[in-house]
Amino acid sequence: MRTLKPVSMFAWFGLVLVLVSGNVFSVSAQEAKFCAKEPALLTTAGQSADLSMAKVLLDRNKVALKIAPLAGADDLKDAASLIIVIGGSTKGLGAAGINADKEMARVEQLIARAAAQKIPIIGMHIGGKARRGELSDKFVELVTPKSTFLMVVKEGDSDGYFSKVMADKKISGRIVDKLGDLQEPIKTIYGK
Amino acid sequence: MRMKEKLAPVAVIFMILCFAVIPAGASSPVEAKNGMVAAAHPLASQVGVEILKKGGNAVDAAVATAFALGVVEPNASGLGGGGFILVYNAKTKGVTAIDYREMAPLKATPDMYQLTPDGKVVGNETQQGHKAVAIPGTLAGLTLALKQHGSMSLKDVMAPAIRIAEQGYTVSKTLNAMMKDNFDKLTKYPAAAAVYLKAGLPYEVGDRLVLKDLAKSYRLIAEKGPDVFYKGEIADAIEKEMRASGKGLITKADLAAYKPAVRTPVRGTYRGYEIISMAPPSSGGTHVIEILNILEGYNMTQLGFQTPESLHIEAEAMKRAFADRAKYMADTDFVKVPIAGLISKKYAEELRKGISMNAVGSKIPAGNPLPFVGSGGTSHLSVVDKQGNIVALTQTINYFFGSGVLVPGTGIMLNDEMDDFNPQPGTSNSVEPKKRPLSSMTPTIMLKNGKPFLSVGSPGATRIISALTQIIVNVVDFRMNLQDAIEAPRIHCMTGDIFMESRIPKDVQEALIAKGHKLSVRGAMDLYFGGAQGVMIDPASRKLYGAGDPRRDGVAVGY
Repeated sequence: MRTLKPVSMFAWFGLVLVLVSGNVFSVSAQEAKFCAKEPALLTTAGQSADLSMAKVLLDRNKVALKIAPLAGADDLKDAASLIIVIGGSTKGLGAAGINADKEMARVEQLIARAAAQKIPIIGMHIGGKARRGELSDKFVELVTPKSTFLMVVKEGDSDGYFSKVMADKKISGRIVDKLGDLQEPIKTIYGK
Repeated sequence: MRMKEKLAPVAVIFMILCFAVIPAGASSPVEAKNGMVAAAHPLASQVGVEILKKGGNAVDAAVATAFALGVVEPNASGLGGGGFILVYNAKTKGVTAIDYREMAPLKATPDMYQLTPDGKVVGNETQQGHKAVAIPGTLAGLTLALKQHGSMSLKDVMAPAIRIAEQGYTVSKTLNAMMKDNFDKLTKYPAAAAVYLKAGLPYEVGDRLVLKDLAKSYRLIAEKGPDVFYKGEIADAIEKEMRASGKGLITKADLAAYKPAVRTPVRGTYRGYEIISMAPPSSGGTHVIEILNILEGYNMTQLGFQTPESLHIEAEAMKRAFADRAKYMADTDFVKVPIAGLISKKYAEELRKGISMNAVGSKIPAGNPLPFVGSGGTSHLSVVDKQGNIVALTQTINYFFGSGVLVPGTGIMLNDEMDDFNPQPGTSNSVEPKKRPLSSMTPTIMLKNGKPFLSVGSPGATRIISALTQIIVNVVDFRMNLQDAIEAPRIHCMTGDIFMESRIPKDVQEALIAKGHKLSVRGAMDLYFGGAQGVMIDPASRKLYGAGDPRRDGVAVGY
């Protein structure tokens, strides 16, 4: 078997380094391109408790927010960005007194108005596998392709759905290992 | 760092390797000869085996496991809750049932909750907050079981749980999911948030959770006995918290008055197997027997495992039992319940007459078991010891993380068991002082030809009843091993829709819809349907087969 000369080894190592760092830079570059403005309207698609966790992360970064789990199109009046926390909860829908169909219709209207007003949509999927499956995926499939920027906790992307949509539709965003890791992209996109 | 501390992780790994640990989901039960513990968390099962290996009997091991569950599955059970325990004594062949279900406080009244015009409780007060808390019974029940049937001291059986609480343990996916799912509840109560959230967010999978305050309470109890909880320092802390909230009803007088009860278990049969289970205030045993009695009239084996026909019959049988549950069931210390009628074979025969193979029953009214009287938030663990003593124990703080109220400085999360009463006055299960709310917990022991065969139970509220029924049918009619029987897809049906796991094939779902059933399809392996644990005993070889439920973190450990 032919052995690599030290010079060749350095060349290969360098190439790998360039490729890897290129990938990192591309993610950073995508984030750099996207800047969100305040105040943000924070709502859910599916009425899960994940909204409250998203609020903690946004509050930590002092992002000016209006929180409206059942936000209608008119709530976008003063908003400069729309954050939708994606994931269905039977308990949450029940507590809100609506069913999945009505929730879908509400979110569709909200997305349409945001598009009309050119308000960027930030999709957040932070509930992992627990927020995938028949109920949640209705909301996932509604919001994800329409998002301007996506923040996803990796466990929720175990089937590669979010990665694929991000690649296919050229949606910038970040897939992170843990919930707490979302601090950094929030900070970046809101310029904190 | 001292050498002992340095070696601790190595010792833990060694212990794990020594025990026959096979995670649930491998579809074959854990096999052992000397003893077996199946509980909702691997560390809890290991604690039980540790006690058995030290010479403790099944009750010592079960009580130690229950205390450990209060640490490693704090969202589901603990000192702030209650439960039921069934003990089979291998020498006397007798079964004892201890009821340590919580009780309504002395100041509780049938109209203590304000209702909306459509019957909902204003402010969710039966589920969250201080008014939702009933007098906890866990410690009184476990210490009574230990005193009557155990051989070790309270200090000895609590020691492993104290060790885990002090050293901490790794947060599992299940616990992380519970923290996320109950995030709003946890953030609402600062004392709970301080313990179960990390910098305001749920602990991540893999994080270490140390429960210092709970360890302190456990140490206090281990040293001073249960009176410290019911009459001493911990009682003071509970009363203080209740009073400070302005809404809580529990006083030191309530705690001092709490007594567990020894009950006569309900008994029935299914195709020659004897079923021994929990009597009221749990509805579980009675209705599992009622459903099995109905199913006994059908050849389930011939109808086939999870065919549209067998699922249709199971769903229709469940509907009848749940209609009866709603009408008749309550605490028998306060209300006369026609138990003998409900578990009578002749009553089941009457109910079968109303079931059609082709039509779906809707708005099923309760039956009339009275003529047949004369004739006749939860965690479960099962233990079998070397002598053949058996324990089936189910306990709970009701909803995950109970009422959300954690008594500051004690680490004790209080139940929301008042939600298991009917908030409407004038029903058999309405609130009354010192009454125990209706439960579905179903710790069950099965005998075959008079010999112990199975110890099984599950959490899951009313789904406990349907889960237990299906596990027994899977074992008896479909000849499954216990692990397969527990893992098999489940359904649940009370009044209308059939709730089912999505693993039930699409063509079967379509056939049920064609019959007229409405389906509500949930996750593939959904903890909504419970988390059963069990131990099966081969009567011929006396080998033990343990099984845990992968819907939660269930694991059986044997040696």
